[in-house]
Amino acid sequence: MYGFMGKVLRVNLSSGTISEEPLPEEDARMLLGGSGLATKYLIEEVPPGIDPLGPENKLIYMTGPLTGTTSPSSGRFSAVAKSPLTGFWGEANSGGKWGRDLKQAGYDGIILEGKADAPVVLVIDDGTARLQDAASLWGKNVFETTSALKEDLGKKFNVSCIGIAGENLVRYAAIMNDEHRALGRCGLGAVMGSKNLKAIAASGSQKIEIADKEAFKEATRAASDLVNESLLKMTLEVYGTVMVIDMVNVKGGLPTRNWQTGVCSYTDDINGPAINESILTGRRACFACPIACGRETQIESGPYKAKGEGPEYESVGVFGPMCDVNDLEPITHASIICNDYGLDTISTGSTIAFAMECFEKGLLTAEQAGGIELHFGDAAGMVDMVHRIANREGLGDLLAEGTKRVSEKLGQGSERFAMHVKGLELACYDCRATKITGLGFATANRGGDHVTAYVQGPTFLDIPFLIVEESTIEDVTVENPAEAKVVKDMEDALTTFDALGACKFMGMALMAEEVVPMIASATGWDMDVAEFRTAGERIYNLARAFNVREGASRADDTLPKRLLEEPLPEGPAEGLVVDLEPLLDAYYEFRGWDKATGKPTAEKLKELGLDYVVERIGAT
Amino acid sequence: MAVLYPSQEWCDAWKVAINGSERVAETGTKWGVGWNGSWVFEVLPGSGLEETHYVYLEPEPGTGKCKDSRELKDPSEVEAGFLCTGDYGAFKEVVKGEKDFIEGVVKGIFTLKGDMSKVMRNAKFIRAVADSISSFEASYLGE
Ligand code: SF4
Repeated sequence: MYGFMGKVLRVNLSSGTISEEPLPEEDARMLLGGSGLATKYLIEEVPPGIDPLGPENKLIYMTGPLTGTTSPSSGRFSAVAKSPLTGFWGEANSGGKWGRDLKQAGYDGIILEGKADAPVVLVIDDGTARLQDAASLWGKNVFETTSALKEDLGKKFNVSCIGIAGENLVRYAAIMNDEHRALGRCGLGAVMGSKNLKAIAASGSQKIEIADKEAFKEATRAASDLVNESLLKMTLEVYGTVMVIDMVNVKGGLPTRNWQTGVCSYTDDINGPAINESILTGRRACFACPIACGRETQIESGPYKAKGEGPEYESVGVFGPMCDVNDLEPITHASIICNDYGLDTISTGSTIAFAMECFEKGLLTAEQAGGIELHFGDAAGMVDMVHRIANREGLGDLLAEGTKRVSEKLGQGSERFAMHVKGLELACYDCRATKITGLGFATANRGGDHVTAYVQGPTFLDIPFLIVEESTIEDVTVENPAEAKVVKDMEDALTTFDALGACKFMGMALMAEEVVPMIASATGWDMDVAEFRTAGERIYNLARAFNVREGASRADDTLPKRLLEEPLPEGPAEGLVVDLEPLLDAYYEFRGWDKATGKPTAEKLKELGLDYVVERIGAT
Repeated sequence: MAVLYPSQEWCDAWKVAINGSERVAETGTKWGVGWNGSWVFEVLPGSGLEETHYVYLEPEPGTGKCKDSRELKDPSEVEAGFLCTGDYGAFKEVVKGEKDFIEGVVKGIFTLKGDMSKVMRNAKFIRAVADSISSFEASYLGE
């Protein structure tokens, strides 16, 4: 099988049995690989209504046909499970080099099921796999676990693991690989922890067979040239993802003080140039990436001494303006310790910012919180709370449940400013300033996520995504139902990158006509652009079907009340809220979904070759 | 001798600088081929500039050479493919070589309108043209 290793590893942690099975090529072609293929396993093998932290949940790692090849930015892989944070489709994607290493070890993916009696590590060594005791690693964080395993197994092994947060079942715990790269969102680290699986170490030297080597070389060279010439490289390489902070702020949509305003007065102190001038020590690229958006940073002394990677934009956004902290040192420190604990920075920072507002409104008191108080601007309190969340200490135990559950517990109207969608904390783009971004948050299958549709590209950043035919938004401050199609198209198109094992940033610089030749020559499939686009739509509908099966409906495709009803108080977007319903109506129409329920229709599912989910979700 | 920015003399000098730049020639081979690659720079008042100035730049398709560079009274005199707007103070920093134009775009100091996919794919050309701005001596209105 070209482009793939042709094998999936199945590991039953309850019984300790490990088996290999062939990767079904027909499914791979329909769903490309990565999160697409993993979602098919999930919907077929995980029964409805299970506890995401119970042994019936499965954690499925999957690479794609481009992972580990020479195509640009192809070090990526995905994992899916039922999310303990949202109760819906939990998906995360990561870069670094681990995806390549899994593939070179001989496997396209791993299905992890059941629960080990005691902590274990899965070791995959060039075509063989074994479970080994991890008692000595339990209780250790990511950096220590990674170096201990490399010492034990050899430096050639690369490690994907959880830290203390995953062990403690923090609902937004991440799985980390290459120390600083994260399967960040949806709490997959807690799923891994619930299975008593501490880490997966992979190493191998197997070759990924390419169907047409010459054509592949030509297609990847052309794509790499385009990326190298692009504004994307020029800016991301120099400033990292934090480059966007000023552009978001200029439009009045930089969430500040838990989204109480969209204007921040100190972005010059925390933006890309500020990082470059103060704490940057180097740049880091994922495998085969010509861009290198990763930042190596160091704070040499003082209370926030730290060395590692990051912060990227979202981490700066949540630990900076969201918590109203205007100092790069605590922001960077918080981001690096999140990586070490294995915590999703977006959910961590957002939940802390939410708690800060609760304290300021008197909905949380020091008495309730074991003597602690959190206030906007309190950098030390913010950092301290990251430790408490990971360790589930005191108030940290409550915040470890995520914004949605905290607000449900506190009540008293706190739900209005609990900034999540479907339980997933929102990324740092206030959609009151660019309306269509709100539709992207509301409809994303994994919850309040920004990279599902990445519609902030054409809205906040004025940068089109060439991977779709049209991504222009005429007036970002106006709800234009016709532009709901841009969200649908971008969701479908960007979904394919998580399936292929390539970075979504490539979607800015490359057109479908430039991506398809890489897939076709790698796999030998005679794929055209239409088939590629349909695959994206198919994957999107499959993930939606999983959510519908778990009870999702139109009512879940919404936004926090603050965004729907509370106008932005200042700046270029002053007075604006999001009128979501007309956008949703149009979106469902473009999708071919039932407007009343938000469910894919039987006709749409059949058109996409997803007949097997029609009954599962009672589609009509 | 320093030429006054913004003025027609400055536009003429910029044209010479662009046409003398090897980097512009090397990177401009795709710019404007089959589409409108001309620019209007809208220089907003402030920092000693009393009224809005418009600078027009028309690269020759596929060569990077400058075909036309002039001051406009009104932007409607031309049909440009791209509009770049910013304060006089910010433009002045670019002309002086104190600010990187691309960084100005990223920081939202300059706003761009036009087909951004062309900007995405020709960033090296844009940087080369922008860098040519500071390659000759200028003096400044209001200073
Ligand atoms: S652009 Fe950044 S995140 Fe994407 S593959 Fe490259 S280094 Fe990794």
